[in-house]
Amino acid sequence: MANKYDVVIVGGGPAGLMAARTAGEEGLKVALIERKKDIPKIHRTCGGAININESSFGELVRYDDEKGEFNFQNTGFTIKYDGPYQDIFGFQIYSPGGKRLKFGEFPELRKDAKKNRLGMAISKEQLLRTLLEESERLGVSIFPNENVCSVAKNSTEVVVECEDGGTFTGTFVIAADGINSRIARVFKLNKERSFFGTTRDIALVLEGTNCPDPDGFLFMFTPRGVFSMIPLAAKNCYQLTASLSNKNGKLLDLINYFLDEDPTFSRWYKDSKILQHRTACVVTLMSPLEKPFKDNVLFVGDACWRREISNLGALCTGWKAGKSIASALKEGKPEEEGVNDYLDWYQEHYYGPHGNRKQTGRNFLKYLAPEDIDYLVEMPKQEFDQTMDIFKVVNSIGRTYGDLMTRIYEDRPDVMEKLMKVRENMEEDMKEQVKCGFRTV
Amino acid sequence: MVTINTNECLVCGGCIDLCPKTAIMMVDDKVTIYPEKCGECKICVEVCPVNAPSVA
Repeated sequence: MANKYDVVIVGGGPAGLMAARTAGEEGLKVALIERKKDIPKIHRTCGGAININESSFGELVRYDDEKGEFNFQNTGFTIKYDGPYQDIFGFQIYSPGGKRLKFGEFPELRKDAKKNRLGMAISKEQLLRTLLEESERLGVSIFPNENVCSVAKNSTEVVVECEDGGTFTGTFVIAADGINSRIARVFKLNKERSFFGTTRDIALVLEGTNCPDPDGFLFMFTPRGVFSMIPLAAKNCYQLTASLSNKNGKLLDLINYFLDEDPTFSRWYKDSKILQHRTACVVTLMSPLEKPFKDNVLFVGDACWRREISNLGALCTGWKAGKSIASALKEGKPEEEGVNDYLDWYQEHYYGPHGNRKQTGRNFLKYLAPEDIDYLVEMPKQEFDQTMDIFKVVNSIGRTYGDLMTRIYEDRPDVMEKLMKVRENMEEDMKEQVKCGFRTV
Repeated sequence: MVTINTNECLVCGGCIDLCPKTAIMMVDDKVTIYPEKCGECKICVEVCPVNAPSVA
C-alpha cells in the first residue's frame, strides 16, 4: 500500500522535522504531514532562540562557530546552522518605572560573548529548512498543504485522515502539532490536564532600540500589561510582544501604546524603525502531559508540553521519539512497550522535574501600584545568577523575596498588605483567567 | 456566516487550532473557513489577536 508507513509525523516544526530526520536516518519509511505549504516559513509569533551553554531538560547544547553547527552533547546529535544570529545572555525583568532584576551583568558577560552567552537568536526558518532538506534526502515523504482532520487507531495501525481525502497509515504516529495540539484534544488527553486560560500575543519586529541591554529575554511589567522583547537573528533586530489573557483588550492598541506612550519604555523605541513583519499567536495554557503516549501516538514538543519546552526541548523530544520508534520496530515491539525508553526518558528529564509545577494566579499588577513594584524590584542587593532557565528564574525570585518579607513588613506595611491581597485572591484571579480562556477538551 | 478578512489575518493559526468543529483549514498558506462545517460558535472571532474573522 502506497500510503502505509512505519511512522507518520503530523507537524513540521522543530519537533516534527527532527523526528523525521532521525527516523529517516534509522531507515524507517516516514511520512511528514504539515498544513503549511512552505513548511519552514514561520507565521506565528515565535522566539527563534536556542539555549546553549546551560543545561536544560537534561541536555546541554554547544555551538561550534567554525563548523557552523549546534552540538547536542548528551543526546549526541548535531544540526547545521551557519546563518545569522545574535547572542542572548539571560533574563531581565523590568518594573513599570524601569528598575530591573538582572540575571547576569550583561556588559561584563558581553566581553567574552562566545563563552558567556546562554542562547542564540537564530533564523528558525533556516534551521527548519536544513532539517527539511536533510529529511527529504533521507527519503522521508513530505506532504505540505495538508490539514489533518482525524487520527484514530484500528486493530493494527494508526490512520491519519486529511481534509482533502488523503489517508495515511502508520505503525506509529508522532504528534508534533504544536501548542494547541488537536491530536491531544481528539485523543481526550486534555481532560486530565489543568487548564490556566488562553493567552493571545501580537508581536512587531523593530530595528534598533535605545534599551540599555537588549541582548536578553526582557519582560516589562507595566500598569497596562506585560510586554516582552527578545533579539532576533538579524543584526540589531528585536521582537516586541504584547500578551493578553482576557478577551476584551485590543492587542494592536496595546503594543502601539507601549511603543509611543508608555512613560518609561517608549523612549527605548524613539529611534527604532518598525519593520513590516507582524505576527500573532494563541496559546492554550495547560499542564504538560504526564504520559505523552496513547494508541501508538507519541506526543513531542509543544504538543505534550507548553512553550517553555523551547526549541531545545522540541528538537530533543523529536529526536528521541524517532530513535525510540526505530528501536521498537527493530525489536518487533510495535506497541507501548517498544517506546518505554522514550517514556522513561521523558519522565526523567521533563515531567519528573518540571511537570507538576503549579501555575499560580498571582496578579501583581492588579493590586500593586507601579511605585510599589519599583520599590520591590529595587530591594535585592545582589544581582541574580545568570540564567536562561525560566524555572531557575522563578525559584530564585521566590527565594530572594522570601528572605525580604520581614524587611518589607517593617519598611512598607502598605506594600505588605497589598502582597497579602495578591496571595489571598490567587485562586479567584486564576478562575477569572480560566473563565476568559478557551478550554480545548 | 463567519468570514475571515485575509488582509487582516496574520496566519497564526489560533482559530484553526481552537475551532471545535475543525471547520477552519490552512490552504495555500491562507486561513480558510469551510462554511458547511462551521457551527457559528464564534470562538474564532473571540480568540483572534487581530479581529480578522467576523460574522456577516
